[in-house]
Order: sequence, then C-alpha cells, then structure tokens
Amino acid sequence: MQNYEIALIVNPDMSSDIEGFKKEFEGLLSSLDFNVVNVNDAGRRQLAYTIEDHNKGHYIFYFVEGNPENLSELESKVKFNEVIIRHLVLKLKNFSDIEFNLAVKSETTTEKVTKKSSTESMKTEVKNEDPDQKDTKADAPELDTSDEDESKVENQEKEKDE
Amino acid sequence: MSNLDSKFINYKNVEMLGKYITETGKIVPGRVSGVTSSQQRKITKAIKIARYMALIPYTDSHK
Repeated sequence: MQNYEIALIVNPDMSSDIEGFKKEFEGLLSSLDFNVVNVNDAGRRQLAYTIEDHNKGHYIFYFVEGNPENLSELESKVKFNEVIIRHLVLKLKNFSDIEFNLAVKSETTTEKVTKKSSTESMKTEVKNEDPDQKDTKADAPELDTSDEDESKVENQEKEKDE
Repeated sequence: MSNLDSKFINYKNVEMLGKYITETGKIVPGRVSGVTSSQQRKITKAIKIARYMALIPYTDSHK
C-alpha cells in the first residue's frame, strides 16, 4: 500500500454537478482498490494562466492509499476524462499535510464582500446625487439607476453560480 | 525567513510561495531569499508543482 495525493482541476462548467462528478470519481477509485482517506473540495478558483481556454477551475484534492500497480490504469482513465482539465498524482510518505487546505473559499468570500461594498458605495453615491439631478434632469439619473440595477442582478447571479 | 517551518512548505501554500517568486514569476535564488539550502530545494519543488496546477504563474506574460 502506498499513500497518494491526487490533485484535479475539473472543468468549471461542472461545478453545479460537482457532487455527481465526485461520486463517479470515487466509484473509479474504489473499483481500482483505492481507499479514500480524505477529500478536500477547494471549489472554483481563478487559474494563474488559461488551460484549454478555461480561466477558472474547480480544484479537488483526494488523499488515497492504494496499490501502485493500479496507478497507471487510474492515470489513463483520468487522462481521457475530458471533464478533468489537469491532474497530478503525488506520492506521499504520510498524510501529515492532509489538513493543508487550499485557502480558496475565504478568498472568494472576501472578493464578494469587496464587490458588494463597491456596489453599495455606488448606490449611496447615486442616492446622494439623485435629489439634485432630478430637479434639473429627470430622465438621465433614472436611466443610470436602471443600468446599475441590472448590473446588481448580474452580480447576484454570478454569486449564485459560484 | 530563518524561522520558516518546513511543514508549511507545500505547493498549496500559495501565499507563502508568493514570497519566493519575483514579479515576473521567477524563483528567487537561494542567495537572495536567505533560507537554508534544504528549505530552498523544498520551496523550488513546491513552486514547480504549484505552477503546473495553475496556482502560480510561470511568467507574467501568459497570453
């Protein structure tokens, strides 16, 4: 038996059905007698460079123990799975860094917070400007606010997706 | 830098590895980073793995 860490970048379009992918992949692992010790789903993350025209990827890390003889078969299966855009198998001496999680979720939440705060500050600015402008130009500020509302909705949708 | 804990040298520790790459993405040489040679080897390895997994860039001019 040998310890491995399997790092996968999954197509971000699969993020909505990531549980289905995980089940499928864990089925593949168990069929090759790999015992899953821990799974770390780090979520969607911005890639440092584009891979196959993807700017984002869904990172999943599996900590498994299994027979080295089955590894080549696993690698070939992973290689021809088009949902997985990049993979890496590392041999581990032990699972000492098993809790070493990629700090992704906290980063994305801070991003969201900054986005929200920026939109909120925009709102307040518009509100401050509104009373003065409505007296002079009634139409223009309304158009501005409607545009902003749309952008807010888009942001919310993006957040939901994420 | 001298109190760097070897346990934290991991390719997933992007924040820490960021201190050992230049703005252009190059690995900071050991004579400049000031860490022990053993730690420098581990950092270098971790950076190369992190690059492959698109956690940190190879260069600042990725197309």
